[in-house]
Amino acid sequence: MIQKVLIANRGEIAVRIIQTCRILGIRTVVAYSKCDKDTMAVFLADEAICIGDSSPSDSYLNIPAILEAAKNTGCDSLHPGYGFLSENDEFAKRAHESGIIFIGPSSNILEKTANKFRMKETARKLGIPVIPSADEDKCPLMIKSSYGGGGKGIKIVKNRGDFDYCLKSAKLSLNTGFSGDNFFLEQIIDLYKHIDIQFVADKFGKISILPARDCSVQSHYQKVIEETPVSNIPKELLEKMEQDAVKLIKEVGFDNVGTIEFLVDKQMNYYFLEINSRLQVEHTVTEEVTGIDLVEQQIRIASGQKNRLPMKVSAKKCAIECRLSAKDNGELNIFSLPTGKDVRIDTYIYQGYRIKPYYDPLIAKIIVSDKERRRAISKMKLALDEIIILGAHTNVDELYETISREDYIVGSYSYFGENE
Amino acid sequence: MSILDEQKIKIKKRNARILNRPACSNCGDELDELLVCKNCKHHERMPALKRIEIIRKNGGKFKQLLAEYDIDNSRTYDYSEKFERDKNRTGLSESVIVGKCKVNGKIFITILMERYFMVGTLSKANGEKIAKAFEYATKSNLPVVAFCAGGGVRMQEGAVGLVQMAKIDATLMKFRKKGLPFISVLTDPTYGGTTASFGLMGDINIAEPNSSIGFGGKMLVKDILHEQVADDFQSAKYVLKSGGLDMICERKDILNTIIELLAILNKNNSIKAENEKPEYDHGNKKPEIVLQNIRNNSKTVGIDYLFKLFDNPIILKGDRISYDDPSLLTGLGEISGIKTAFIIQNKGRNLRENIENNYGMTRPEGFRKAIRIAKLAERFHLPVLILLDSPGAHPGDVAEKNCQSIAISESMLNLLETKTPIVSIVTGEGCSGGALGLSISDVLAMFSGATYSVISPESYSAIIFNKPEVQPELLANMKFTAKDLYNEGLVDEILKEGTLEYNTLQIERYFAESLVRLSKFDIKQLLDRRYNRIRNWDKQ
Repeated sequence: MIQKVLIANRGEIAVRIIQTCRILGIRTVVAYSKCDKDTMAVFLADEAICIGDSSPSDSYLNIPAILEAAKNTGCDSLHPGYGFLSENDEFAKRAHESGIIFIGPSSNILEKTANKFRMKETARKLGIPVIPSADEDKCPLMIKSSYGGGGKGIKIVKNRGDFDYCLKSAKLSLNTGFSGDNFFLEQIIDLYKHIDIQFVADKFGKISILPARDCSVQSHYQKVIEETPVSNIPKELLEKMEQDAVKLIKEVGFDNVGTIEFLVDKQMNYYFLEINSRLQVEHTVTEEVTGIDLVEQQIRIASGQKNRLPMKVSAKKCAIECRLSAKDNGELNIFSLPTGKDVRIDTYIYQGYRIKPYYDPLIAKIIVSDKERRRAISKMKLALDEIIILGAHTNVDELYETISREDYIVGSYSYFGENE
Repeated sequence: MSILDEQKIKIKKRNARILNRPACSNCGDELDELLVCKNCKHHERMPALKRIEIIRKNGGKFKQLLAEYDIDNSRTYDYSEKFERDKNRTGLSESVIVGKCKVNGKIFITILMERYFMVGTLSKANGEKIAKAFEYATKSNLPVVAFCAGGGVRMQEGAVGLVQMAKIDATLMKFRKKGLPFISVLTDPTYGGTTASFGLMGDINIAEPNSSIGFGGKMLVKDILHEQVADDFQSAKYVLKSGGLDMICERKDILNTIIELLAILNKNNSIKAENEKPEYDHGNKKPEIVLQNIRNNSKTVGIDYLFKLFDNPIILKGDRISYDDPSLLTGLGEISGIKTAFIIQNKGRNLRENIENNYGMTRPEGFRKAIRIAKLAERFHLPVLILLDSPGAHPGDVAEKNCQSIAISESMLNLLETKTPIVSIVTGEGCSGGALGLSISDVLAMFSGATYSVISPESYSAIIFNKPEVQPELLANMKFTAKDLYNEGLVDEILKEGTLEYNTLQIERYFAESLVRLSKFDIKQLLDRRYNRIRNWDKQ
């Protein structure tokens, strides 16, 4: 079992990883950038080590600095969190070479899954539906980056004349962390839902499928509100997706916690989108409905333990997560977060914390759960009303407005956002 | 307000937005049909069309006039995009609507401005329309009521827009010459182009609560002058205090107030011939007792008389220059069926009121307010009733800075040639310039317990004997009682004094009787008589 872990991330996910480690009795070291010295993770971890300047490329994307920090602090493993280097096969490979356990799939798997275009080809060969390819003369179409970026690389081209401009801006928007600038083109589908299949797989080939998540409320293709279990999708369709997921996991030989993303169109056709070979932001809703600690699963599997979960875990209740983000940088001088039964807050901020301009604007994840979906929505509304943040503007009103929509309440709402 | 209160308001506003329900921009609560918050009485901006709808709901009639001027064919300015957008947004064809209204039998021309159409700015077409409205009213002898709103001049039209202000004022000048009333209702927001041309030039200026009224917008003040301004800068209360407004009136009462004002400002006044006469007295009271009485805190003050004399007085505020002097109550009302303008000096009944009212010491702005009311009375053929009770004109820094001496002499000069009967009654303390400035009248009476003196006894003692304690022997020498004044021939009558009710009746009767006596004279004779009276005031 792992003894000491270096957390190569920041923000709420760093806090989240420390929480599980403390329960498991694992010592923690947080690698932080210069401006992140005042974050909650640095305060909570057993040790903290500065790995470079505020800019991500100098710190959280700086592979040699992170590995050096891990060695110097005597860590036997490292957790990459999400974003930054979490799906970087080079990073996983070099960690392995340095004798440090990378908490995540092994580097050869990451190499396979990281290339979205190649994964799409693999899926197609297995008979899993994928979004048809397009060529630049048939607009409208979608430009996607082979190396992901959580939707950042996606550009919609409406006219042939805009193609070059869109390609250029797609390249520009991917200036951090993701190597290569390969793009592929896809036809535009009549998008209805974005479904995540969460799974846990071990090194011995045992695969557990956890309840799927509905991540269909997005802004600029960045998820904003997620929930589980999925409503408003036929059960048979979901089962087919799960079966396809298992096929793909076996084919790749995936050996940790991951997610397979599918898109569903209005005609109820589904398409394989990608594999996320890391912990996801919205893992919390799955944890709430199953009672499983996914970070713990990651650590146990990376330590070589067996997956002891059943093949299929079902949801005991309904959970919704809202991502609270700051719209500007400011000092949070008055601050109050929701409390109460079945309300979970994953955050790293505190009274007087100044939001950093260098990183993702997520400041807290508000998760509520209940037996009934409608009651969960009411709980979320109350939770959002309890949020008092002065000093920076947040998206709390937009979140509230979304979950108050008639079509959200019946489960038919989806929004993915224009990406101009 | 605590952070939780703010949060509550934020949530209320958001919920209203989700339900697509109009909400109070101040507290987030529900609005009534007049767009006034049911909770905090905050007045939201009201579109012009909605105002017309309300006039009609109240049984009034509205007929649009001059709509043909909306399309200004000579317009070649490049703002058609915004213009078209606002046309669709408001359902109007320009930001000004002119119409003829009939409410409760009162007919008037109304000018309504729409803030949501090009910010209610004055364009060439608008300027022409407003000018025509004044011309139409002048020709057909109708009052004008303007509901002002909006920013300044439509800058996109350049100097052509600017000169609309002067053009409108030219027609307003002719309109005023005809002696017709103009009531201006200032709504949120009213600025430069409107306020600096006709908006604040009403015979009566009424503002809706929480309106912003000013010359230059707050942003302009901030950006160009880099000046920090107070939170209430340009608020209706601020303008009221600066003397620019007569009153702030809630939206539900505005139409009634307009009707009441038009009823008084219609130049039809009747004076009944048969009146009961007041009871006269000899004023045989000892000076020290008289002094004790008028200094008594439970003594009746101006505001007590005001509400006893008039059923429903309309108090008009402000000198239209810089301040509203609270020690002087002025306005319009009816006494025994006679429409009257009143000027009443008002001391306080307690320490708080005394501080608010400067202990009844009239400030220069007070005299200027009196002049304004006298001129208003003259224009609308209303007699003026002046009740005097003041320890003197304000002698302090605030008064000197605004030329107190000039204000007093101007008050006298103006009252001398005010072409309407003036009745003055000393109800309490008549002291020095404070009393004299407002004593210029056709008849002057005193209550038996009132005083009229060159200076207050305390100041007299301080100046002559170098000690402020009042000496009893000095009081006799000062000769300030009603009897003294009557014997000197400085006052016409001494009115018997009693309870507040009795005193009020005495004032009513004396006022009515005096007006009957004065009605024998035409205006020229009246002014000659007044001149001779003042010229020979000290000749018994």
